[in-house]
Amino acid sequence: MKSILKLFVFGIVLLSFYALYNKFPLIGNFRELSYQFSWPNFYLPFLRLTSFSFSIWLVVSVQAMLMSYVLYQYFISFKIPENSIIYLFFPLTFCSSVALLVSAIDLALFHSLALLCTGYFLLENTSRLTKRIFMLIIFLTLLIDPINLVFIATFFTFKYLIKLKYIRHIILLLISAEIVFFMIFLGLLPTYILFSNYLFPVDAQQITTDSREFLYLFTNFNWESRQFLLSRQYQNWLNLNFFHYAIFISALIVFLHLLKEIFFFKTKHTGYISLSLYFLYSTLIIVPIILVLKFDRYYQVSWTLMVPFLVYIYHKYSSKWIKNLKID
Amino acid sequence: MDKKPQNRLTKLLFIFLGAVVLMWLAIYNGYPLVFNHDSGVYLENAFDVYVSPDRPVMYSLFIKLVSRGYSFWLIPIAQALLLSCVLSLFFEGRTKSSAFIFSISFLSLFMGLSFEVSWLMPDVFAGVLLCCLILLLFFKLRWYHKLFLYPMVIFCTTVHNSNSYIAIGTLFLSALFLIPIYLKNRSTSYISLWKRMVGILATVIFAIFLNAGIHKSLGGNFESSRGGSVFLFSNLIEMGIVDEFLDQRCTDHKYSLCVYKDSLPNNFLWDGNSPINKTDGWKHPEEYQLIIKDILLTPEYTLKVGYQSVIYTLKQLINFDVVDIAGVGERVKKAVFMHIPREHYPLMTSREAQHRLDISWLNYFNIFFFFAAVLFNISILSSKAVSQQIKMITVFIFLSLIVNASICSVFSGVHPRYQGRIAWLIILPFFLIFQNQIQTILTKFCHYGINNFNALIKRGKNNF
Repeated sequence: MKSILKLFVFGIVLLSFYALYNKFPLIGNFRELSYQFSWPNFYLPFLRLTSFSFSIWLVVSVQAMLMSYVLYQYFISFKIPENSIIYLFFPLTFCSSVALLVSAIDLALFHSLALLCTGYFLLENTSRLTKRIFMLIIFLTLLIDPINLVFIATFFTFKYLIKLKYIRHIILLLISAEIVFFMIFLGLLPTYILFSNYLFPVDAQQITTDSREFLYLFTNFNWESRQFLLSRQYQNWLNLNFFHYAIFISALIVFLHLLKEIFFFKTKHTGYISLSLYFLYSTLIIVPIILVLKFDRYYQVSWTLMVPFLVYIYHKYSSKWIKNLKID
Repeated sequence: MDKKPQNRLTKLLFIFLGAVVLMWLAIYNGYPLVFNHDSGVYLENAFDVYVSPDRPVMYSLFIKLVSRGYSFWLIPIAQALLLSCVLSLFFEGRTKSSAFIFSISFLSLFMGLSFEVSWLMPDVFAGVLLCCLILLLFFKLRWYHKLFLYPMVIFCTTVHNSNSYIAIGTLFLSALFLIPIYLKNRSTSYISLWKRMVGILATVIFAIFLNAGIHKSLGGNFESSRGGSVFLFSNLIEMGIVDEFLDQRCTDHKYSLCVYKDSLPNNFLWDGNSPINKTDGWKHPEEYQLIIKDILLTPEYTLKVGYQSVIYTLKQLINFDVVDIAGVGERVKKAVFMHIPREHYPLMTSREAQHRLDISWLNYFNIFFFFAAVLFNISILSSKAVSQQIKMITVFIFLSLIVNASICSVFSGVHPRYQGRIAWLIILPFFLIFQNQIQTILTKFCHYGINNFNALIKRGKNNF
C-alpha cells in the first residue's frame, strides 16, 4: 500500500511535469489545434467537479492520477514489480507526449485513456475489479467526448481481425497505403504517419488576455489568473525543443523495434505483441479519420506504443543491468 | 596535507585548472555575466558601501575586497577558485585528480555550474554552502579542512537572504530524517552526526548575528535578512491572495494600499509604477507586515497560502534552467563605467551585451542529466551495494533541493535561477560512487591516446 501511494505521488508529480515547468497548466497547447475554443459540454462539468471550483491545479492532479492508475495497472499486469514501475514513468514523461497531455487543460488526454482502457481487455489474467474500473473510465471518456466511440469500434474490429490472423497483413497494408497517401498528397516523409503526434503538436500556443481561454479562467479561477499571466506559455518563453528531440529519438527507436519484433521475428510474447499491434492499428485507423474530419487532436494517441515497448525493455534488460551493476 | 611538495603543487594545479574550467562561460562571453538589476545593485553598493533595504551587504563587500577597483574579472575567478577548492575536498584522499577534473568539467559543461560561477551574483554560494555542509556532516576531515570550511559556511550564509534559512531548514529536516535511519540500522554514528549538526547550526546562527552586526555598523538596522516581508507580500500578490483579501477587507479596514487594490502589478517589486515605489514601501514595510499577519491568521487564507506553497515548491523544483541572459541593464553599465571605466568597452562588446550568447543547448543537457541523476539516486537509495554514507549524502541533497525550492518559491517567487544554483548537486553521488571507474576509464583512454600518438609519430618518421 505504501509503495502504491508513493507511486501515485511520483506519478502525479512526473506526469504534471509540463504544467509545473510552465508554472501553470498548459492551455490549448497543440500547434495544429486551430479549432475554436469550444470544449464539449461534458468537459466543463469535469473541470468544475475536479477543480472543486477552487483550483485549476486540481484538474491536472486528477488527470495525472487517472493516467497513473491506468499505467500502473498495465505494468502490474505485465508482472513488473511495484518498486520498478516508478522507473518506467521517467521515460514515459520525457520521451512521450503523455505528460504533455496530462499537463494540459484539454480533453485530448481522454482519447489516450479510451485507447489504453480498451487495450487492457486484450490482456489475459487481469482482475475483474480492474476491468470494471476500466469500464467506468471508458464510460467517463465517452461522456466527455462521444467521439471516443471510435476506439471501441477499433477494438472490436481488431479482435475480429486477430482471430482471422490477418492483422499483420492489414497493418502492413495500412502502413503502405498511408505512406503512399502522404507521399502523394503531402510530400512529407513517410514517418509522418507514425511520428506525427510525437513531432508536431507539442509546441505551445500563446494565449492572450482577450482569448476565450483566458476569459474562462478569469471567470472561474480568478484568484489563479495572475499565475497564468506569469506562466512561460503566456510570456512566450516556453521552450520545449529538448522535448522534441527526446521524443523524436524515442519514436524512431520504438518504430524500428516494432518492425523488428513484430514483422520480422514474430516473437512469442503474445500479450505484449497483441497490445503493440492494437495500438499501432488504432493509430493507423485514426490518422485517415483525422485527415478527413480535421480532428487534429487525435494525433495524440500513438505515444501508447511506448507502453508495451517499455514492458519489453524492462523484461529484457532489467535483470542483466542489476547483475552487472558493480558499485564500490 | 600531503607531505611531498610535488603532490601539493599538483593538487594546487588541478584546483586552478578546475577553476578555469568552471568559468569557461565568462571566458566565452568575453566578460563576467551580469543580471540586469541585481548585479547593478551589488556593484553600486560595493563602492558606496551602502546597506540597501532589499539585500545583505556582504556580497558587495566581497566584490569590493576582491576586485579592489582593478577588475571585475577577479570576482568570477575568486568564486571559481573557492568552489574548486571545496569540490576538491570531495575527492581528497580517495582517488587521483583526473576524476576530480572530469567531474568538474561535466558539472561545468552540462549542468550549468559554469553559469553560476561566471556571473556577478552571489547565487553560486548557495551551492558552495551546501557542499560545505555535506563535507562537514558526512566526511572525515582534517583540522585544516575544517579551518577552511567553517569560515566558508559563515561567508556563504551571509551573502544572500535565503542562504541562512536554507542551511537551517536543511539541517532541521536532516535531523528529522537521517537520525531515525541511523537508529533503525542500530548505528552509533548518529551521535557524531548530531554533534556535527549542532556545531554547524551554531556557526550559521553566529553568521546571522555577524551579518546583522555588519549591517548595523554600516548604518542599517540590526537585521540579517533584508526586505523579507516585502518579498513575501509580493509573492502573496502573485498567488492571487492579496487581491481577494483586499477586496474583502477594504470595506472595513483602512489600509493605505486599498487605494491601489485594483492596480497591483504582477511585478510588484520592480515595476516603476508599483505602489511600493509610490509609498516608499522598502523603507516602511509595516503595512505589508500587518496585511501578511492578517492573511496568515485568517483560516480561509491560511489554507490558500498553504496550498499555493505546495504548488509553488513543486513548480520551483522543476524550474532550474538557465534563462536569465537578457542583455546588460543600464544600472550595470553605469556601475562599471563609474568604478572601472576601462572595463566598460569589454562589457559592451561581450556576447551577452550584444545578444549573441545562446546557451539553449546547455539547458537540454541540464534537464536531461538532472532527471537521469534523480533516477540514479532513487535507485541507489534502494540498493544494498551502496554505502550508508553515500545514501545519507543522497538523502541530504534531496532534502536541500526541497528546502531551497520551498523557501525561495514561497518567500520570493518561482524563478529558475533560484533552483539552478543548486540543481547541479544532484549528480554528486554519481561521481562519488563511480570515481574509481571514471579514473580507470580516463587512464585507459589516455594510455590508448598516447600509444596511438606514439605509433603515429613512428609511422610518420618511417614515411620520411
